[in-house]
Amino acid sequence: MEKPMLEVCDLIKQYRQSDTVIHAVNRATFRVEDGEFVAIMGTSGSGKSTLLHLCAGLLSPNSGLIRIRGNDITKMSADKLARFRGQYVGFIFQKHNLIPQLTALENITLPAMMMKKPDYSYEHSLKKLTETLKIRDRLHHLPDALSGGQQQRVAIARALINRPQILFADEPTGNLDRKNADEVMELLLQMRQEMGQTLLMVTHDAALAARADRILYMEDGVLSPRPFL
Amino acid sequence: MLEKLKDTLKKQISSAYHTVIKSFRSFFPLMVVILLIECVLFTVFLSFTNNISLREQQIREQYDHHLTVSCLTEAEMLLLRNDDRTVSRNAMCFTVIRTLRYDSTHYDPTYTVYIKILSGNKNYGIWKYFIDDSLETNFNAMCLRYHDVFGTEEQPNDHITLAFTPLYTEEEETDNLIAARTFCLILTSLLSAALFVSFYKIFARNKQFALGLYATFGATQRGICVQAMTELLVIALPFLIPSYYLSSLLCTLLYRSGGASYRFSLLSLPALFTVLLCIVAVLFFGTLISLKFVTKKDPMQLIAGEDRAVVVTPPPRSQNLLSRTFPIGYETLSFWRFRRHYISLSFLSSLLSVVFVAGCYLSAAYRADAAVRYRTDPDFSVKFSSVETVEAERIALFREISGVSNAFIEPSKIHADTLSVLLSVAGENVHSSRGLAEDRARNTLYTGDVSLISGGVDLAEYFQEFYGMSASDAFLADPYSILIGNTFENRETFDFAVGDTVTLLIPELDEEGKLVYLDENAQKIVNATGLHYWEEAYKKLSFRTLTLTVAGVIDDYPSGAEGVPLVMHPDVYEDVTGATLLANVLTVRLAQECTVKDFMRVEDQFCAFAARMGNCTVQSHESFFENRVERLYRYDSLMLVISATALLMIPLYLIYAQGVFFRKREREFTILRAISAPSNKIRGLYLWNTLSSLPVAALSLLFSALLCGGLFFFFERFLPNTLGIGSKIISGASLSPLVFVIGILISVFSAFLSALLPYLWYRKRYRAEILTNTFYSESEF
Repeated sequence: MEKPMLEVCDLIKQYRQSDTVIHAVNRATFRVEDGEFVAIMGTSGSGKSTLLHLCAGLLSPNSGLIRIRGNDITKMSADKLARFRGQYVGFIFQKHNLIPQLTALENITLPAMMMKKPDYSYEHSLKKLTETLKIRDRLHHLPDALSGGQQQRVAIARALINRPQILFADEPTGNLDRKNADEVMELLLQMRQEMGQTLLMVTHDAALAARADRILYMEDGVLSPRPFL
Repeated sequence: MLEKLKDTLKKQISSAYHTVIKSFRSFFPLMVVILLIECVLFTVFLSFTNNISLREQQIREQYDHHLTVSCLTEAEMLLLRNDDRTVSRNAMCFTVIRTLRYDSTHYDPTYTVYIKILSGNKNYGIWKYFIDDSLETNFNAMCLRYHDVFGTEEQPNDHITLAFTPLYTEEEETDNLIAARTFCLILTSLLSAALFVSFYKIFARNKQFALGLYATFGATQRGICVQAMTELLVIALPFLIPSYYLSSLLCTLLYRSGGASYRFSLLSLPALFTVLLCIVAVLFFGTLISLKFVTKKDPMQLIAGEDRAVVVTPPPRSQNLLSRTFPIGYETLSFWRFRRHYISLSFLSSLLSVVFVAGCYLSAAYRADAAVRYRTDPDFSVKFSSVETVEAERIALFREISGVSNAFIEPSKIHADTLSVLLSVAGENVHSSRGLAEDRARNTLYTGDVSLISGGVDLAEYFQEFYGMSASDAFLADPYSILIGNTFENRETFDFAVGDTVTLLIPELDEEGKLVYLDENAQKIVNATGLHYWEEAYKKLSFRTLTLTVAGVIDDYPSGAEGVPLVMHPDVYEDVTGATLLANVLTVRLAQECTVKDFMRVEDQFCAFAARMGNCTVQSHESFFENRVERLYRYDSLMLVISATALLMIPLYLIYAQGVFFRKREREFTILRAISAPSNKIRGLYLWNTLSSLPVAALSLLFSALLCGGLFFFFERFLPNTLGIGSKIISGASLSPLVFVIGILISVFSAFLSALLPYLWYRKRYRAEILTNTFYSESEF
């Protein structure tokens, strides 16, 4: 049996606030197969973003297991995990998080610079990404000179430049209007299809979630394959 | 309405207080700056006030009279002494404190009378300008009443001498000190305001998101400014008393170390009030200017510009990041993109370095000035009626009095017609040609600004004593030898050595005494002055030449407006100028350790000698007292305090500015971590910034050198005789290289620390959760 792309087992993440303990993620267990598109839905504050960050290695869990391509990321050192992310993981933030002093093009090529790959290996994918995402004419602008939709597209391009095997998206269209959201989503799915990536996406949007291969539901830190009543 | 105002004020202060307490960490750097500014302002005020009281104390202890009138006849003395018997009490304008009689075998006895001028009701403050009952009025009334003794303006009485004591000039000098205090406070406040603007701008820019929200929901710019001022006053007011005591302690140390006293007062209301006024002005302008920069943007620009709070300069094109290394290539690109931030860092730290260096320089200048003034200003002058009455034995009598350090015949400096005489110097003897006219054909430069001085052995000894001239035996042997100065217009211009020659060009005059022109058709030189006149004269006039040999070089002469000093033999002097000499004034200086009582004792003895000799008068100078009192003022220490404060501000500013800068970039560094940058590379980003302290220090050094050069040029050209510093001091005061070394070291170390500390803070705080925050709360920093 092929190994799943992502395997999460008994994952726990807690926050302590004064005398109260908040279970952001409470014993989450699930698997995502290679090439699958899984959506995670839930109400605000249910812990879905926290779960996504844990799976991407951006947060450390209190306990549990996270394996990406069979590699247990919870046991990796910070640097090894960073290199691993650079090679296999792409992340799209809800609030894009572009570097303010770098242009759109520089933001996009930043992950490639981290991996020290030669520029000729990225020329083609860069061209394809920027054309597909329709940001070619805005490449030399700083982020604050771009609209929200354009910024999110730049963020998507940045996440995809290294051709990651698994892509995590935290409400990628959360800050966009309907038209932009649909457009961005179409582009994302198109890129995913072309590159054959696994996609795990957090969303509020039922219509978006409906396009996923599978939907998981989260409430009060608990993950379930069925919606909560 | 009053109740409403009171209520509003109470709410405002309460809100400001809670904001400051809640955001203590973000206000902390401003607190330190405000405390330092208050300390400096208090130190300036208290030291000047102490100078005033020191002076008053010294005067009261040592003088009981306003005026000394010497060489009076008995009849004149009696006339003055019996004033209180001859006029009514209401008409009295002076009183005789004591009288001294000097007997002589050959001449009638002379008298010296010590007079205290009555000043009626002593009017204080501005009222003295409206009700004229001053010392000067009563002095004039006294002179008018006894014009037989004092003479009139048209016909002065030459055989008596009047000398005013510091008690007479006290009020004027006190006014001068008050004016100087006010000037220094204003200057210090301006500098402080400029500094505070730099700090507060960083603070305000850090809060621009919040300011944008306030503006969105109705806050006006005025309201924001009022709130900001209230917050700062909530900090400044409680710091007033501690600053006062800190400054008092500092002043006590400064004055005691210099051998002067400091009058400590538990609480000085004038000091508190004045400094409060100054600090309110500093804070007001600081907040107004800083907030103007920030709030001139639209609210949405402030809110959306949160990420650009580090002031990025948009590039024209993207860089190819793939060809760059990380972190060095990446961070070098960021240096360029954030160049406005780095330039403003360099500029302000340079400015502070300049204040530091300038303060040290002024401190050295004040110290040198005190030493030189003591050295060169005479304490007494004995004027003989003619040159023939000046005999070596007579001079020896004055020199032998206990307490006398030296006595020389005063050189006669005659300026009349100096524009006509030209001094021509070979090119190789000229160090700097600024202000000199040039004769290229003959490879000479020339000037008409020459101070011709006649003198003999006495004068040579005078220059050796005070101006560092080496022994000049040749001057005494050869009548056509001269002593000449190397400075011109207060800067080193010539490079003379013993044995060099100079040429004096003396314009020829016709029988009627008019200038002779080379060419009958030559246009007359009219309305020309200075360099222009010399150039015209050189071309058009007929000169006879006189070659003179340099026998001694005066290095340190304060040439100022008097021109190049050229000392020549009396015979040659008379030949050149056609004037008759009067070298008949003996200048006397007392030993440094003499007190005012010694001064008065010597004065009495001088007067006794003068009476016995006849035909000479004794003039005492206030310089004795003034020089001694001014040495107690500790201006040099005050300058050092200001310097030290400026030096302290450099690391404070750099650490604060860089701390906020890196705090804003933490999100960026965390994003880089998120997209696989390892932690050692992030460390490398900070390390590269610490290494960048070297070019920042180099840039600051360049700015400082340029600004200091300009400042010293300004000092040299315009400061002589302002700020109470003599002209020779500016070129003579030297600055230890240690000052520059300390300045550079502090700048480099501060720049290094300003990147290291944020790294240490970042390492403690690194969390991926930062990525999920939408904005920072104020307690984050």
